[in-house]
Amino acid sequence: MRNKIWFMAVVLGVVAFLAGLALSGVKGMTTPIIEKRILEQKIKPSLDKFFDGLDLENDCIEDRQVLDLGKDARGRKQVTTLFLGKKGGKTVVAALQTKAAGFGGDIEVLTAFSLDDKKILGVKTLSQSETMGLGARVSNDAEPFIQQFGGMNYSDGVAMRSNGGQVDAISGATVSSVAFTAAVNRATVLVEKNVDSAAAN
Amino acid sequence: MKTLTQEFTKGLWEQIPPFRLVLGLCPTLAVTKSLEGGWGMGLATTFVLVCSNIFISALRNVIPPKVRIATFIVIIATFVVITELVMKAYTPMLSETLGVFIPLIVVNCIILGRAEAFASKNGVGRSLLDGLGIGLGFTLALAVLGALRELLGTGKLTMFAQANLDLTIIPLGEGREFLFKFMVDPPGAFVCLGAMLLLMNLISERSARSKAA
Repeated sequence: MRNKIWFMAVVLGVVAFLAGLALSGVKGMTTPIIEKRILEQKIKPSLDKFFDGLDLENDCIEDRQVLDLGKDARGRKQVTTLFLGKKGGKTVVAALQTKAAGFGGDIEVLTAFSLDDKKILGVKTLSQSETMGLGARVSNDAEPFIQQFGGMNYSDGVAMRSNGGQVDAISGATVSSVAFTAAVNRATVLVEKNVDSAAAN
Repeated sequence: MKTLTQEFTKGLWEQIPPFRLVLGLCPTLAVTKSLEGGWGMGLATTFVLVCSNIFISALRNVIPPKVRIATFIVIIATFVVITELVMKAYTPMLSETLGVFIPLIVVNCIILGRAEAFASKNGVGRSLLDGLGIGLGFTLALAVLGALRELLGTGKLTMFAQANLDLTIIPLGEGREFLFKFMVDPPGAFVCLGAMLLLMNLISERSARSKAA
């Protein structure tokens, strides 16, 4: 019986099914912990740095909102988190997470915006799996590529210099740089589209 | 037939993975830049090895021989993903140090090697001890290699960065980061591994000769 094809299929199928069950259980248990940790250890320090000296009235981590981005090509629901900082009852700064497909997987970026003068306050890589020494340099906050976003005007979006934009790539890591810039650009589009309506609330 | 104690202890010296089986060299060379990286990788691998050995030996009479490798990989990959998620949740700094090498445990040949060579032919108890022994041997080897490289490379020993348990053994001057940078670079890993292989061979040759005499 062990050599019958249906038996092989059943054994492999049952093993894979149980494995999937176990994994979804573990994923369900760990996801909230991992999200909380990213919020506390990665997003909070970055936002504190970007919004430093602004004396915001609210705690933008506490007041975060979930932004519905519709569905992706495979029909899965896409969401992101929007952080808004208020001063004098008016939303003055915003930050949000976006991602784009890089060389080795998704690059997740946090972009902070100053809304009055339409400037990017700073960008921070939250996760990436790019090539060590090349694309992985997006993780280094001191990298000129990352630094150049600070103070950049985003009213026309951001794009690579080769595409008529204002961003210089990391040499040797074009794919990662393009993806990173695309993620930041996506954030600017989302902020332009969503933040005014959020300010009215 | 080996005794149960022997099944456990063989992994600690006789068949210690990176030096004797010379398996699993990729993580051995890559993550041993620090003591923490060494023991962290070792323990993660031990967990996967013990769990996969238990499951594979328990199912060894059910799994059809023709799809055994596929089944083994599914079981191993499941435990690797569990390890990855749990480490991300509870030991975030260690998980960041080890990075992509945690998911790569799936393709660590020690694990598939033990599944194929041992767990698929032996009972659950023996397989558990075999996995534990080989896993702890791997941990020991990686920790020693990591400690050696980190100490010579930076003069420090990171026990567990998350709990701030770092020791400065050799204090360096202000603004100096490395003692002997070669040791924490990839080529240093090869040299260290070679030196330890030499040392182990010398010791076992000596003990074999003294036994013969």
